[in-house]
Amino acid sequence: MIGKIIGRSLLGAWLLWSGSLCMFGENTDPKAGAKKILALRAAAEKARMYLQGAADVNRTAIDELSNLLSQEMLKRVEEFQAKKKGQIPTEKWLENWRMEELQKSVTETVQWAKEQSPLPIEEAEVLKRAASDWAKEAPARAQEYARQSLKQVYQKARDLAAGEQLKHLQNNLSYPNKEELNARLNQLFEEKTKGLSPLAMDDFSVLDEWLQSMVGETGPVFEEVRKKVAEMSTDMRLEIAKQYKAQFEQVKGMVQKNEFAQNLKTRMEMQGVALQALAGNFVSDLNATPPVYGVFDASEKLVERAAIHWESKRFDKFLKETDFWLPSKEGIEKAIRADLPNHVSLGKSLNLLTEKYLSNARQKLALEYGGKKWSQYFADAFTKGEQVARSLDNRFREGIKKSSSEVRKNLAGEQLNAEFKDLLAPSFPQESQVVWFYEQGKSKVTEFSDLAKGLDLSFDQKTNLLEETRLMAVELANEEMMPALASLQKQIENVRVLEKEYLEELKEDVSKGREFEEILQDWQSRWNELWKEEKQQVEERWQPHFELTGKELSKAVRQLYEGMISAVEQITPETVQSPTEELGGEKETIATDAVPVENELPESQEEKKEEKAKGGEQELNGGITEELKVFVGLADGVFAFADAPEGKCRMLFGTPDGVGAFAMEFDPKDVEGAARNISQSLQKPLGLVLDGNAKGKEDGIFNLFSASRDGSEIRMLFRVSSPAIRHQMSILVRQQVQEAIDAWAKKSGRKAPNLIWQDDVEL
Amino acid sequence: MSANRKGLAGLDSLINGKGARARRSPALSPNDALVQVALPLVLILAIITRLMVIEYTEAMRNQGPRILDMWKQQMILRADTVMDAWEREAELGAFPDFSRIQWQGAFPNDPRFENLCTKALEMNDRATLQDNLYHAALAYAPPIGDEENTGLFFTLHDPLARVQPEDPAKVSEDFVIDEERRAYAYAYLADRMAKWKEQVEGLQWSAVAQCADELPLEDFGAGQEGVSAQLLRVADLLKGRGYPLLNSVVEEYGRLNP
Repeated sequence: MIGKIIGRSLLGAWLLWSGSLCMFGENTDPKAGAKKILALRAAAEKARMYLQGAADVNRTAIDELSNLLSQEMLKRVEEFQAKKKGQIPTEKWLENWRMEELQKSVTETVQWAKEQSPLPIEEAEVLKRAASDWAKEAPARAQEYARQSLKQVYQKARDLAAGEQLKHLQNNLSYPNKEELNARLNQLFEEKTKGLSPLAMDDFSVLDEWLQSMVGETGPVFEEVRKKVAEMSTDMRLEIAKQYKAQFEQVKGMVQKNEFAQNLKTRMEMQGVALQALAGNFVSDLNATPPVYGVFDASEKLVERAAIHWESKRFDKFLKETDFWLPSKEGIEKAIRADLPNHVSLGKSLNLLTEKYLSNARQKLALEYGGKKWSQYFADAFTKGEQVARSLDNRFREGIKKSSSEVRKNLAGEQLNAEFKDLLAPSFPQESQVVWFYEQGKSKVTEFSDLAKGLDLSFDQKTNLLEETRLMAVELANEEMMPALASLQKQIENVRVLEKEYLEELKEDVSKGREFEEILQDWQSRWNELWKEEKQQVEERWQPHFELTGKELSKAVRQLYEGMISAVEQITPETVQSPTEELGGEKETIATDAVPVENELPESQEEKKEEKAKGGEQELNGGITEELKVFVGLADGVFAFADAPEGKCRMLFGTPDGVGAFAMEFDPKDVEGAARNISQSLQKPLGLVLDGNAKGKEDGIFNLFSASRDGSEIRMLFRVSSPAIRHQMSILVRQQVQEAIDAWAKKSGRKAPNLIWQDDVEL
Repeated sequence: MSANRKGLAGLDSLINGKGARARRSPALSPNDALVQVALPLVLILAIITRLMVIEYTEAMRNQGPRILDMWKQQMILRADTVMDAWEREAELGAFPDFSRIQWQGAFPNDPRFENLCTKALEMNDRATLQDNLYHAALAYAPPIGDEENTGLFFTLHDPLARVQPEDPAKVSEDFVIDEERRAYAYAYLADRMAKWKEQVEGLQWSAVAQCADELPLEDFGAGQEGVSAQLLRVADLLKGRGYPLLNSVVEEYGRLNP
């Protein structure tokens, strides 16, 4: 214990002694003290100078700093990726750098001061003298420096770093491997090209995304470099496209201009030559920068396509220039004549001829064109349906079509002369034949079958006639038939005109008691008068009136006459009023035998029905509707006359779909009375029909009734199934309907449709 | 022996707190014991050591002959007389240490220090000062009326002296200064002049330090050479205020151009 105390005491004494000596020494060496102070001053001034200059930016430092910062950027690319965001770490880095530089200067200065002073010097002493608050001022200066130098340093450093990175990327740029590239180019070739066209430079842009993905595996890159990276993929694409294009240029003449040696005939020969040219000029060097890929599969495919194409074209040219392989005209004619019924149709005839001669042609061509070496190749190709086979088929069909046309033309001429002598006779057509076509509603011969019926040809005649013969016969028939039909049509129309114009006069004549023959003569004279002007428009042969025309005129006058005779006999003069009054007047209702149907219900009910009719959903008695349905498509309104019990007649009116339908019974002997009754009953139903017709024009619903019509006309069918109904009835009703249409038009403010009146007498 | 044991036991008990525990609480720690016992002990040892050094120095001084030669006594008397006069004139005695200098701001404000600095410039040419003091010492004569000291001075003859006695032949051979005696006289003068120089330099270096410490920093321009420049600047400023520094101070970092 005592030893310890003594030890501690001695230690304490030594410390005290040396401390007092040091203090004594320092105090007693003013020179050393002065030197220390002088060194401190000098160091402090230096440090202050560094501090004051810490915010200054000079050009040399900018260059040096830019270099340093660019190195830092390359180490921390993610932080500096975006140009704008990269300024934040840059400013911090500049501040730190400046602080480190300042600290380095201060440390060196302090070291220097220590060397100058015999007494120890601490950094804190220097800093205390250099600035009032070094800890605050130094960072502030560094920040100021960072702010001032940021723009110059950052942009330059960024350029350097981006350039360095781009250079690195370019040096390490890995092009796609050959297999993968070939697969892509093959797909592109199949999708983008047709025929002998190579891939265009633009087509390669499809590869951009893929190439970008390869370039993009380089990790984070600077914003500026990102654009360049995209350009790098473009460069890559252009390089690939360039190599492809160079390969194409090498074989362009062969591929697109058939510049193969003339003696080459098969695709294998041509393909071999082209591929040899490619292989000799494009040797693969995948280690080069950029790599040389050698001949692309897509180039080989193009060559293959071209070989197939030119094989066919060369063969086709040979076919065009020769005809030894085609059957002779004589052979074709013989074949047709031997089996006329099967050669009636041109298409079928060509098929039969092809079937018969094609295999022979193939054999000849394979031997002649292929020679010894390739005859089997072409023989196989012709049967396998390859391009050359299609060329041959087309050329063969073309060839026999040409030969057979001439043969068939001659044959048709022969048949026409033999089978259609009547058509060439001056007497053709006879009136009966013209009337037959007129009654069929034809204005010319449209079908050979009609002509055959009209000419009454035998079955054999029909089956042996070629298509061309038939066509020629129709054309020949129409040369005479068309003017004849036109003349007859006009003559009958004139009869109808007279019916309309002279009906009133006929009434007067009847009431005056003129004889029928006398009246008929007047009408014939009037018809002749009408025809006199119009016949100038028809061929001279057909200017005389047809027998049918005379009959029609006589029949019309007779029917009108007889109808009026019975009316004069049965009806008092007061009741015989003008049609206008009958149809549109507001005379008191005359007792009638009309059968009331829903259209003739009391007013309120009728209105409801009308409303329903407007909605197109009128409920009709099944019987009337069913009867009317048979006229669908024939007319807009139908007057159907039939016998009724007790010597009466029944009239059914309505549209084929039932709108405005009603039925009435009347005494057929009282033509005028019946007409009047019909007129009265017809007012509202006809209005419905007209409304429907007009509405149909607007919405198209009613157009369903007729096959072809527009709203500017209304067709009425006057169908008579009773011998008691005279033609006069048709004329009277027609007049009343016409006047009712005019009245309706005036009332509704619409344009009156043209009335097309069609008589249909079943008897 | 037993007394020693008793004393050690007492010390031990003092350290360990035996016997004192009853009176003091808590017990003394080893550090308390160190402060209270060891430090006074060390102080005593230091004083003893110092006394021994003084004794040794005095003994060494007294090793020479106690009785000096007459010419030597006369020479020392004369030299001390003129040198004391120089010291008084320079007011060197007023500045036993730097703290005696009056100071205002970054610069001294003390006429006596100003006088000292000016007078001390004579030491820049020490050989001349030494010659002057030597010849002044040989030629020294007490002021008329100072009868007390008149008897202490008698003539010393140096044939090379600037002022010769009226009748040199009458001067005894014992008081003629030959080359050896002259060398002794010069050495005596040089020894005291060295002390002056040391004292003045110490004062001036301290003044330089204080001035440099107080002066505001200046911009460190190109061409300045650090510490040397700092010293010259301070020296110039002091000189401008009437405090020229010794060449030995100013030329510390290199001789100045004349």
